[in-house]
Amino acid sequence: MVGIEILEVEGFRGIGPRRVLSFEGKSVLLFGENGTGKTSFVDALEMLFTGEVTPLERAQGLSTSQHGKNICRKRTVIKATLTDGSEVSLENGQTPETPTAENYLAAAVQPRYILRRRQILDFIENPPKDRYEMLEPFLPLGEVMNIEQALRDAAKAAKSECDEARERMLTLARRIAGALGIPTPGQDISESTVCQAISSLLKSTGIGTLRSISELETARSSVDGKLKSLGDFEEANHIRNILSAVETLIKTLSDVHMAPLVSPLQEMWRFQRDVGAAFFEDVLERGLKWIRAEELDFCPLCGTRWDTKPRDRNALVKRIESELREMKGLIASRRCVIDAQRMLIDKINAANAASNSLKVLLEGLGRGEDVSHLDRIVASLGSLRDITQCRPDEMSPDKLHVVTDAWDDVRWEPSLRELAQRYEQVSASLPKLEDVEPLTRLYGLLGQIQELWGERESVLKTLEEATRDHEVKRRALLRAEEARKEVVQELFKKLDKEINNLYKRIDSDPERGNIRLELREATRGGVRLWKKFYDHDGSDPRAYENDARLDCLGLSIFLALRRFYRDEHSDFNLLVLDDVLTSIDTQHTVAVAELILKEFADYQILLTTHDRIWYEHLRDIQARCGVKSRFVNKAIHNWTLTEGPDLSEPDDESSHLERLIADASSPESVQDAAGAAGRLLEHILQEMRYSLRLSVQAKREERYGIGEIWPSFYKKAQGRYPGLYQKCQGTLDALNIRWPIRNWVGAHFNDWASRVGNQDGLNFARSVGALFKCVFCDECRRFIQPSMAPAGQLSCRCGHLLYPVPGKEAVKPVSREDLVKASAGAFKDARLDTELYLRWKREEAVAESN
Amino acid sequence: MARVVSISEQIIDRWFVKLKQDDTVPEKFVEGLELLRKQRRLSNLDSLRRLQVSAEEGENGRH
Repeated sequence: MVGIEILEVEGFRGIGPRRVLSFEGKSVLLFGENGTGKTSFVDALEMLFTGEVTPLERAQGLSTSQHGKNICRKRTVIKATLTDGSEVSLENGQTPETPTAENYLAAAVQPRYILRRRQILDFIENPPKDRYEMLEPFLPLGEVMNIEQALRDAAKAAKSECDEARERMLTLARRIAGALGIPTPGQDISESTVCQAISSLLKSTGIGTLRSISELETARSSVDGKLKSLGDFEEANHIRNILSAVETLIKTLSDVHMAPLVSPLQEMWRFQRDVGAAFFEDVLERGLKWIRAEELDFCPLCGTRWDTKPRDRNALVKRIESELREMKGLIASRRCVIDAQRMLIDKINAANAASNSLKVLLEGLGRGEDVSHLDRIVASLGSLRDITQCRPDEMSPDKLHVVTDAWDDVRWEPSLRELAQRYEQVSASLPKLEDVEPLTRLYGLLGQIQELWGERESVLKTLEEATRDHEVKRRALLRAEEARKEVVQELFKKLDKEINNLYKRIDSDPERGNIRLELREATRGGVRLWKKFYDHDGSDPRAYENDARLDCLGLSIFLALRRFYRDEHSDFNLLVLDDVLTSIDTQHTVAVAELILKEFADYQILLTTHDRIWYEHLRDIQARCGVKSRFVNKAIHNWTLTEGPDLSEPDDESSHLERLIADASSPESVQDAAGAAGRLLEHILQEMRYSLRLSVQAKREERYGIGEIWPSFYKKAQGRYPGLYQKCQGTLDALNIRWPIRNWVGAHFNDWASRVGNQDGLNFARSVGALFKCVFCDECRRFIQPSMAPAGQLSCRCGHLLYPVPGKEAVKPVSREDLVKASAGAFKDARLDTELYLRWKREEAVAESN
Repeated sequence: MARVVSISEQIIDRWFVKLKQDDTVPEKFVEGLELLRKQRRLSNLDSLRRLQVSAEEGENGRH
């Protein structure tokens, strides 16, 4: 299975220069006090695999792109080497080199394997909807949700069709009601209402009642039959039209009188006689205009020259004007004639149109003799129009008398009256309009209702289909939602089982179990969390549980989900727990640590802690749980803004110091050696502070330097651990004088430090190297610590380094295997088996008393 | 914990079981949905909209 071999980080979050966290394919327990860069490694892993850092993305106003980079570095490098040799780097992107690595990286994209201290209560504290969203990456329901949404939209579309059809039904109902003259219905109109209304209309015709709309066609046929029984209504109508046309023709012909034309003509003729000359008004006017405008010296008509004297020309102009005045009367009478002509022509045209209409009607009835009589009238009208259309000058008195006499001879009125009388006699035997009209109207109404009802039937069919469609799709959606909720709830039950199993390992109180995840029925996605609290089964855990138990619950849920995710992605085994143990109270932490180390032994875990005591406990628990060989334990000793976290191992630092001392020939190289010695001494004292439980004056963020720890260490070695002091007295005393030399190469300038010689610096380095050998065991790679017994004895874990109490026998530390054997299994597990322990102690007491 | 193989598939299978048990959902409609599932078009709105309920089935329910 693929795991992380090495993680290299540079210029990201709290990590400045390149730092390598070596996993060696194992799990890593990373200790570092607060603010030493542990979480920067976690963030770097998340950034590498997912492309962002969750806490930065969640915080308002922050983002990974802006705040991920280290503030002192321009370049960011994050690179992981996997155990199969694949390399993944932020710079080159994720380009998996093997199929296994491909699966690994595909699963790592969702950051559901990282739990940070501040996130431990997220799932519990969030509202149900957010809980559901948190579970979504574990429940890939995208496809199902898309289907539900499509069904929802399809049902909605069908509902819109229903509404539209219903609206059309209502419109049609209103039109039917309007046509029948009944009150407008609120919704639809019933068949019985329509039948009732039609029946009351049919009552007066004696046709009978309408029982259903299907009888409408029959009723309409009956009305049609009634109409036909009244006679040939079309012929009656035709004759009525002929009579009307005859009346119109008589009226128009009555308007055709010659008198209004004759009178102005006679006036015009009188003028022409008086003037005795041809009308040349126009010629005179044009000539006059020409003369005035051009001042010509010849006649514009004949070209004859006249006297060029202006006086003579003016005389001509006066003469012409006089002529024109005389012509004015003639002009006026001529205009009267023209007006009379126009009026007469209009009347003749109207009479002509009326006669043509009548002619068409008579031809339609096949009455040829009447048509020929009408033609004579029309011919006379034509002659009358011809003379009327002549120019007034061409209209002689003789011509006018001939035409007028001919028109009088036509005697159109008696003949037309006689024609009308004949047709009135025929009309008397045909159906009357007042009898026919109601039946015709009823016939039309029934046709309209029949058409509207047919349309209504069609819309009703559409409505029924759309309603059915909507109902089926709605039910299909309901069934889909039910299926989803059932399956998800079943999955939750499996998850519940896992959560409860994990939780019981931490808190075995039978009154506080039965944790349940429940999908909310009312919403599309919402998860409720229930837990038993004594007789309150199914209560919200926030109501009764303390923070410690809520923390344990949060962790159990996360771990259960992590396992769930592993079921989907078996090749991906990374689990990152960033300082989560220290958020859980001490009472439960051993159980949690044991749970993680035992139950998740097949995972590659990155477990960080800021608690030194817990770091040591966890190292012990690793051994007790039998997973020691699967862990790499790392401690961050220090952190500075420019250097970032210091991950160096103490024995590496010691070897480095030895090399520097060996090569120290120049003042600069001595300074380097003294500087490295200062860092190693600081490291040693940090370890001693914990293992010897040194008392130091409390300091903010617990950042204790050599100056704070050394006096306490020296004093305790002298007083409490004389074995150590006696054996290492020379080194301890020397360092008690020389430790301030650390400042020689430190950041602070001291006047006295400028007088420190190279030899002093070298001696300081050598003393630190010697102290390291006194307190650090090469065999078990652990610093010395107080032995369980006797008091005052110090030893490393394996007993290779041993400082017995003067005058007392040295007691080698008992190995874990021996202790388990001796205690009859009481120390077999991380958690002490109290029963076995007490039995062992009782047996020991009995043996001693014997 | 049992291994989970495609939750979506499980849900869709369950959905079809429920649809077939529901007398108010016509068989033809379910068959149409099954065809869409085979074509991987169950989430296609146009396909679902076009999937009409036949009148005779709708009137008479399940045959």
